[in-house]
Amino acid sequence: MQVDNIIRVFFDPHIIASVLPQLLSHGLVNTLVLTVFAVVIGLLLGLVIAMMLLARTRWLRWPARVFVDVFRGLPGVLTIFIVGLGLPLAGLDVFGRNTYPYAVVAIGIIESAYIGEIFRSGIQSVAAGQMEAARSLGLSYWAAMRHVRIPQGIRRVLPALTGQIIITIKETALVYVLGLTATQQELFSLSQSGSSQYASMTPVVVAGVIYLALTIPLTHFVNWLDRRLQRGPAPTPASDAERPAPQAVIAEG
Amino acid sequence: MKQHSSAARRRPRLRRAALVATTALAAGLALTACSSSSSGAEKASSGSSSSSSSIDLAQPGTLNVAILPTQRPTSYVENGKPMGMAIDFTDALAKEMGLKVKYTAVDLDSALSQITAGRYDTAAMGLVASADRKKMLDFSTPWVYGYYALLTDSKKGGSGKLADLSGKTVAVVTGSQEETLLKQDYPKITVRSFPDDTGSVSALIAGQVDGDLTGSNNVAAFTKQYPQLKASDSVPLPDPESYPIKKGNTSLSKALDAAIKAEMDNGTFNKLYAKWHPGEPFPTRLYKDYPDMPTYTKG
Repeated sequence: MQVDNIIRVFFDPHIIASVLPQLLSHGLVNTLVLTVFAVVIGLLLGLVIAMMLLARTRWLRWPARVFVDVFRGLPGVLTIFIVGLGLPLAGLDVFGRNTYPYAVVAIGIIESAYIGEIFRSGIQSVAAGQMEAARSLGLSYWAAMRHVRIPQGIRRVLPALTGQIIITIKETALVYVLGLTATQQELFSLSQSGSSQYASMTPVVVAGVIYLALTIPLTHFVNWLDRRLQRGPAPTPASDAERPAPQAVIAEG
Repeated sequence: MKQHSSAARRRPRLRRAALVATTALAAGLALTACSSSSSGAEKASSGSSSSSSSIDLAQPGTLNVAILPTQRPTSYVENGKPMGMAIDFTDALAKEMGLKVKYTAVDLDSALSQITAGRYDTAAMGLVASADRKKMLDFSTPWVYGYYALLTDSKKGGSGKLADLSGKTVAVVTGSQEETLLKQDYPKITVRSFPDDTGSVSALIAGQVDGDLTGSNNVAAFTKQYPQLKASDSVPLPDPESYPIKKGNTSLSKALDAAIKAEMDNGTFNKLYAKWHPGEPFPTRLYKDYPDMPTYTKG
């Protein structure tokens, strides 16, 4: 009796069969579209934020610090609500009536605050000698940043960045607060509609499994990346022969 | 309860004994504690029904009720207190049945699935007993009839009739009857679903949608708050609004039906309707369901 109830509420096979195709064919696709655009905005804006945080003039540093503090300090759902519903209410309907650009911008802004800090910590962790050596070879500040410091810094924070992408995937579930049309529903809101249609948790459980199918492999990828970065690539005779010592990066500049 | 140690099990018993004493005292003094409520919203009532112990409930002696946070003036939370006509009416029903009431504010989707799961006994809200929902849940006899109202922005022009909105976008609440109605009867209208009425009406004000199809119980509050909005079209509800009950719980459904009839016949419903819907048309279909109820005179 009790077991029957649990199965009916969480794992009803008929409900799974009827919601799974739609969850995959457009719930998953919409979630990925939102994630990709939000991550692109987050990476680009995050790099700008990181550069500002590292700048020598306080007029660049301070605004970036305020930006990071504000958007890391607010609940994501609040930022999405304010940007997504607030902008049009204030007459700033720059993207017309489509919900997605507002949602993507809101999530992208939140992510850029986190990613900016990740980039900053990575870039700052590159030994000062790298920069000094690059400058002494005649590179300008920006050229040294671009060719020497930033690439090394970003490589060091790849695991943290991938972790942030996982968080972004989950954050896209919050766009339902902006109101979605049938074709715009992402995994979570689509599963929630299914949940009320069938008065069962099963559709939400199915959506949860799809989320995990995205996030768990990514998590293990992060771990693998982390280990690899700590140990370096597995040495092969060929690569040992042709690859110069790791610190020789400067010589390329 | 089963897993509790014997020491832990003793305490609720003591508390229950204390509760019985308090209830008896309250009944003796003819006190009704129904109007006082806190954010926890436990309400004691000096009930008279002797059958309350035989009602199958999630928590013996207490009616666990899901409400909506923002469905004015029927079911909402203000200053941490549950408010609205459905809450007042449910208080009266619980008193009739001799039960305490505990209100929890949740969204519509979780309210319905949690009643199926047995966490809440019923829901106090404007909830239509539709054919779809009857597959999942049992329903009490009607407690009110409503209509759907189409809100439009009077500054934007247009006829404001649903029939003329093909190709346009109309806001609804996710999982609501309005959503189903639009999808079935107006397939050419693009439906945009919001988690609650606040989102859908904000989108209408912001010009993100062309209309907002919502329950009649929202009209007074929204048109007062936003004078540019008007109820430009309405669709009568085919089904009554009733109390949802977990499938097969006949003891609760019998008790609720009897209590609803009692509150209809003694004039409580009419009094509450005058309080919460002044000046609005009375749902006269109730006279057919409850022939003994007094005729509505106010408003």
